[in-house]
Amino acid sequence: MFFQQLVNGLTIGSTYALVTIGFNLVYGVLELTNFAHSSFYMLGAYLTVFSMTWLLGRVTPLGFFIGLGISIVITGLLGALMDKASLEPIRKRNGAPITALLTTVGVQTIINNSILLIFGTESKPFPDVFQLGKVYVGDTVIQIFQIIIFVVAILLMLGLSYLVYRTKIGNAMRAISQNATAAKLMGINVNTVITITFLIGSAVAAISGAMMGTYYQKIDTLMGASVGLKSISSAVLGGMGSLPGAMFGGFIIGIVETMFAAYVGSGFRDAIAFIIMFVVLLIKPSGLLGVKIETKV
Amino acid sequence: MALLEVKNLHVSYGSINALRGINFEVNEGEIVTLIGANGAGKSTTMNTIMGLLRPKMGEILYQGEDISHEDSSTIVKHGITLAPEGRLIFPRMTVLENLQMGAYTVSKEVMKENMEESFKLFPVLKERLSQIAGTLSGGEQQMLAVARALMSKSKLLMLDEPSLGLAPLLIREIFDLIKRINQIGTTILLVEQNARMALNISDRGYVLETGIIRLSGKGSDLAKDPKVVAAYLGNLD
Repeated sequence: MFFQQLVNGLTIGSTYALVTIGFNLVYGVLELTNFAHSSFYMLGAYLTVFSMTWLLGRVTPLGFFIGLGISIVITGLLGALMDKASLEPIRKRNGAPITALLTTVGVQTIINNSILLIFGTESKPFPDVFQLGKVYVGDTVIQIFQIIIFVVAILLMLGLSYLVYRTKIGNAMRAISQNATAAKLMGINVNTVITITFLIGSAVAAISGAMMGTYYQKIDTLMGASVGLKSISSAVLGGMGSLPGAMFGGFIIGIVETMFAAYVGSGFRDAIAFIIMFVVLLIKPSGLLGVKIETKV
Repeated sequence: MALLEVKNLHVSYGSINALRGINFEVNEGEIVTLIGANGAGKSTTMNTIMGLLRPKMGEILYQGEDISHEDSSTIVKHGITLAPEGRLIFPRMTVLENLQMGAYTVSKEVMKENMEESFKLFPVLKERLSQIAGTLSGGEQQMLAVARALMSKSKLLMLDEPSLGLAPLLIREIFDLIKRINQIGTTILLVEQNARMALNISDRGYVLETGIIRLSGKGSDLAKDPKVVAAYLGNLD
């Protein structure tokens, strides 16, 4: 029973981790809480299933990967468009951070309502094209796809960490996050780098959406909202802006939530993430793996 | 033709006119100093040349080409760099990473060469390559900011208050460094509160007063000019 809950918790936690990684990538560069991020996650799932079943008509693993490819490209480009059209103008006018924050809420609403309008309100089936089966460890049942979700979360975390810490564009991202003016003086095209950050973050969200659709075998218009709030708690718990923090925060929230539902009661499960968040903010405001930013006066 | 020529430059912050039509030039190989009181427009001038601020009117000609409406990233590629006031290093990166950021626009080979050259000028940085830049002392951060600005092998290096907040011995060291950087072929535009030392190492100088150039001349002449002495240098007798 305990290990079964642990496996289930890790799977849900991987969902949160996958969404939080992209969220934290953007936060790390801009210190902007991107509320639209979870909408890109939902959009990614819808676009994958739409491309696979309606556009290609191939409900096969190949169809899934082509659909996922289409979804990644479109979602990524829409993420970049969001920055170019709505956030870059605010930066150019030296707008207040709260303006950018509210803009992301606006973009979230636009995406969510567009999905409602185009795909309808009822939940859609998301066929599991892989049918990978399950393995038994003692009396614990583990679906192979659960392992894949877990591995993909870790690979994406490692991949994005490599991008941020070992590549030229990643160095530019970190430079911007530490001092945008100095980054300009180094010859970095700050706006382009930020747009690319949104492109990557949104593309990663699309991967998460498609994985989760396959796992639950259905998607609905509320999937973004619930995961979005959990991923923000995961980010606070793990450390805002930290990529490993995003992963661990997601895992911990997922496990605690599942355990709480199993042993205490399921009615309260959605609140537990926020209770964890409050406690973390009181004890260690920078999060488990967050860096305390000291400003030398 | 001058390397940098500023013509009738007007810059304003909202309704405040920070620069009201200044003209000056910097020739290849020179050290040129802008002196003036707080609020005279010295930093505004540099930030506008660098593309961080947009002029309301006027031209900035670099090698004969108007760069007054280009992006900072393009201006760096032309060969102009600024070591800004208040250091503005990347505090959570190591010294090495800061220097690498300085070489963002050049190839890896050029970066390696420039890094060796920086270590000759700033041996202290070589000892601290893996230290987090935010934990360096003020003087070391200042040297890092100057070294970082040199990493792209710019033709024109602009230094905004490089001696700000440094101990007298370090100030001397920074000015010696500026002379050496100039001798290895970099043209320098300098803004300094420490007017006497700045004028002494400069070929020419300009005195800015509330957005207008009041005086100009050879560095050594300005240092002796009674008006400059009275306003900016003080009388030592």
